[in-house]
Amino acid sequence: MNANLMFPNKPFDLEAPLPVWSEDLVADLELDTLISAMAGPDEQLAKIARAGLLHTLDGTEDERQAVVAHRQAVLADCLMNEPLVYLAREMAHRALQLEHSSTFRIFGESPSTHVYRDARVLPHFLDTLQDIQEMAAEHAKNFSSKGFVRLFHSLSSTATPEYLAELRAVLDELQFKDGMVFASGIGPGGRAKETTVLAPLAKERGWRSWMAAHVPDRLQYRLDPHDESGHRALGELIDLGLADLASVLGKTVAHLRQFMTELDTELGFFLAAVQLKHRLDAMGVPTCVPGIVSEQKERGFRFEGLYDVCLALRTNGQIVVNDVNAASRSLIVITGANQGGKSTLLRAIGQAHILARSGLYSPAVAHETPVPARIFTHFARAEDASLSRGKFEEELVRMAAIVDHVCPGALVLMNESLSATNEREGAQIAHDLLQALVEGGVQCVTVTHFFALAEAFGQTMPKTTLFLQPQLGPEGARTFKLAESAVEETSHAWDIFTRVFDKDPESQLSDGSHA
Amino acid sequence: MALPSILFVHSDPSRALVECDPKTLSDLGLKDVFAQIGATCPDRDIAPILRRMLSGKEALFARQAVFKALRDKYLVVALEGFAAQMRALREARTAGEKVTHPLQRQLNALALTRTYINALKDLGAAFGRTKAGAQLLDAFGAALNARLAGPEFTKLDAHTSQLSARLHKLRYALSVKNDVISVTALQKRGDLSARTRTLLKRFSKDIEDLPSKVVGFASGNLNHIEEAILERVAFLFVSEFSDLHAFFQDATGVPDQDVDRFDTELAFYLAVNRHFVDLEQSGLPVCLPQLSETEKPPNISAGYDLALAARLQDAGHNMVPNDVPQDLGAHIIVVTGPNQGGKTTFARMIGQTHFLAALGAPVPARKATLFVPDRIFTHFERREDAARQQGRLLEAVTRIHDILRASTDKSLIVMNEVFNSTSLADAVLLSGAVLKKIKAKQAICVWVTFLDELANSGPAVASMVAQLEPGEGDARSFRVVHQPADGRAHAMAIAAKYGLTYEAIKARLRK
Repeated sequence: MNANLMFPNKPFDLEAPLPVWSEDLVADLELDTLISAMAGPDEQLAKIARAGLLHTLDGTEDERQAVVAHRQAVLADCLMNEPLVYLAREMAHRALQLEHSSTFRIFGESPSTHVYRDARVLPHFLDTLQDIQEMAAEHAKNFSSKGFVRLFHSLSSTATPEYLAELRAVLDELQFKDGMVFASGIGPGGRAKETTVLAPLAKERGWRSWMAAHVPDRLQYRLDPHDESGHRALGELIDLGLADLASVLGKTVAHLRQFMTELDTELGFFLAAVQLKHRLDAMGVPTCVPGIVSEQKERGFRFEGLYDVCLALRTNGQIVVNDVNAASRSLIVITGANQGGKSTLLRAIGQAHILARSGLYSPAVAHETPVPARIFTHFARAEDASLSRGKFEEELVRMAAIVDHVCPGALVLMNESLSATNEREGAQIAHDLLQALVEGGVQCVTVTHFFALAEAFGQTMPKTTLFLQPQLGPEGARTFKLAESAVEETSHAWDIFTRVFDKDPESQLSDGSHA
Repeated sequence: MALPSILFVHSDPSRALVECDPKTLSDLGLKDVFAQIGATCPDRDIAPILRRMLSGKEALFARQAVFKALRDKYLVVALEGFAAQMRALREARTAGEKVTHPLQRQLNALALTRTYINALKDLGAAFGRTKAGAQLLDAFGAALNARLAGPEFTKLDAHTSQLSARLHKLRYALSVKNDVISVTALQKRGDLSARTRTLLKRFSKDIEDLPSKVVGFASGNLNHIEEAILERVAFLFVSEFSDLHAFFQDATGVPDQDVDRFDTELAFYLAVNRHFVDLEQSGLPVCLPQLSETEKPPNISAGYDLALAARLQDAGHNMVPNDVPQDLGAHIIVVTGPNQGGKTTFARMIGQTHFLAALGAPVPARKATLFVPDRIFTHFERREDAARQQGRLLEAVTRIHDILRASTDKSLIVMNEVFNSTSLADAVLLSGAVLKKIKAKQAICVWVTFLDELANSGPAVASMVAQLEPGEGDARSFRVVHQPADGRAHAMAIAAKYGLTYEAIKARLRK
């Protein structure tokens, strides 16, 4: 049994290590604000939210799309049935706490201890399963997502009342109130081998019960009550006989604990998302379910009314919205004056894609994007400006780490990257690097004050690059909005070349950006 | 009849063996590789075999024939099986020496005898099925099968196998209640373990994977409860246990000394073979080299460094193999090129192939024709030690002097960045002088250096250069090719240093 709410076919692993670049991502995109809006003061929930946002979606594009669609549907169900979902998580949570408190290790770790403990712990889990199952059976009609429908089906087909009753009876026998009987053979060195547990003697009737009660003396061994080592040895022998049972019971307890933990974790993630949605709704800022498009058909993304969600949370809804149409553009180059909203827009793009990839709402009126497999940030660091060579190396090391992990379908956000050197060198390296990334199937957004870099892309990739600049209001006032801008100073020969090609009707048809 | 050795054609090989300096093995990167190989058979000491270079065509061909025979997977499986059984036997015997209870001693003796008999029979059958085609193995197999067909062995086999089968199928019931333990005949009762397992399967598929029986272990003495139970079991099954007693009275010791020696010799072949088969399965070429007694210039295609191959594989990277072309025509190879460009790796590869060839073992290459050297010398200078300049230079000169004195026209000398700690002019001067002496000596030599002057110094010297990736100015390709040293300063641009060139990133994204 698995919850399978985060993924269609595998559990969400809360303990899996976060991608190594997560720290940069959290710092650069200011995700702590987002996480605390989702989780409030609950540390465990914050951990869940963090993991849900930061874990990469690996696999083919189809698989990534399937995961996001799966989560979007589950999230919609959670929003409709918030009290029930909340209650289900509470039940799972409480069962886990009860198990935790009743497994306080006082007896040591022998198989007989395991059997003793597990035979008493399992009934608690069975009770919780039955409770959740009954609730699910009553309210199943209000849920439509594949995630919940399959979960409820798996609960009702597994935890039937008859099955649970039979299991409770067996667990009762495993408390061995009438002594134990094993079947055994002669193993290596004369030790017992292939020892299994037989049903208790009390069940015997008639002559067998008589025989069992009258064993010849020479086949019996009476243990002296003061024989401590003998009792210990007998304990070990019993442990050998119970090892198999202990392992089976242990796996079952572990499995049910895992299942409850999955419910606790996965429902927790969606409840945290619901919480975020409530916060944003209350502030009156828009959210949307991102439309997932296929990068096979068209790369790039599109936003209407995009805003920096963390800035919104911090300022209680003070937002600047931007429209960004990067459909069929695999690179966005943002240039222009400082304090013009460049970094804010870059962060907003990053946050929106983090949320979209996690299957949650986007901070925008409309958002269309392929599912980014991995999201990276490379922001210039303010510290140690004095050691400029060391700083450049630090940037290169971080960039090399990104390149180590980048994959087709990834999104890379760069903010004044490789700027700790002269423009010629920085632009040269950045251009080749970005061109290679883009050609390799990576979506890139870069904020740069290197004109040489923007100019180079104006020549090498004019059609697949979107150039944005801060828009100036009347009298040059800052608006914090950005708009598409042509890159000036393109080479004369290239100009003629592109102009001739743009006039060619066939090339226009084949060029998605004119559609 | 004694069982013959499978390592040597002649019974006393000591005069033909040269032990290789451990420092040389370490310089060539073979120390770690051999440690890795040795770790696969921890209780057999094969290190001495891995250190001793053979000489003479007959001895080398005989070993190569064994490795050739190990291409047969069925033979390898059979031999690996034998080695595993012998290991288990040794462990059990050590553990069994401390046992005191008579019933336990009797049962252990029977089990050990059966293991030994089965191991030998399996081995004999494997040799009987196919002729290995290797003189060393076939002679051993014939001697072994003659021993196994003898009346002494066949009688012991029949008797012990019947007895052990009878004991193994006995089952009894053991009840525990209120400190009373009873041993009785097994009656039909429900199996609670099985029933619980069946019920719990519904929750988790994992449960089906469990072994349904837990087998007890053999080491150490039985405690008095186990003894008490075993004694009562013996009361319950009188006939089986009295036959066991009779067997024990007649039993003699196992195993023979020459089987034990065979096991160690076998461990060498299997461990080395396993290492190379693993390499092959990961896509790297492996071959038995052609051995030449006249042609000194090596001819290697797709050769690679074993130590680096192991590390790269762990990291999931591909190895770049290199050739030493046939038209080289020179017995001194000078390797130049950019730092970290694969020069040392290339020199190690040449050293390794020669050493392994002298073991009669396979080499890390697709094809190789090699002169089997009488000895191998290495001198590797480490950059980080360059601080103690004066001392180091003296040390280096002394070491090189010793090498030149000990080497012959049949030796291989591998030099790596010598005289690094001196000024450029001094390094040129000293290196030139050493090179002249090596030329005069007619030894085979591989010399890694940043001094282009060495590479372009006459017909006895072939120049090989570690290559940059074509196109982009500064990415290393780790390919080393035969061409004149070009005198370019191989300064690496920053992007290449961090793997951030267009090509590097494109390559990364293609994977």
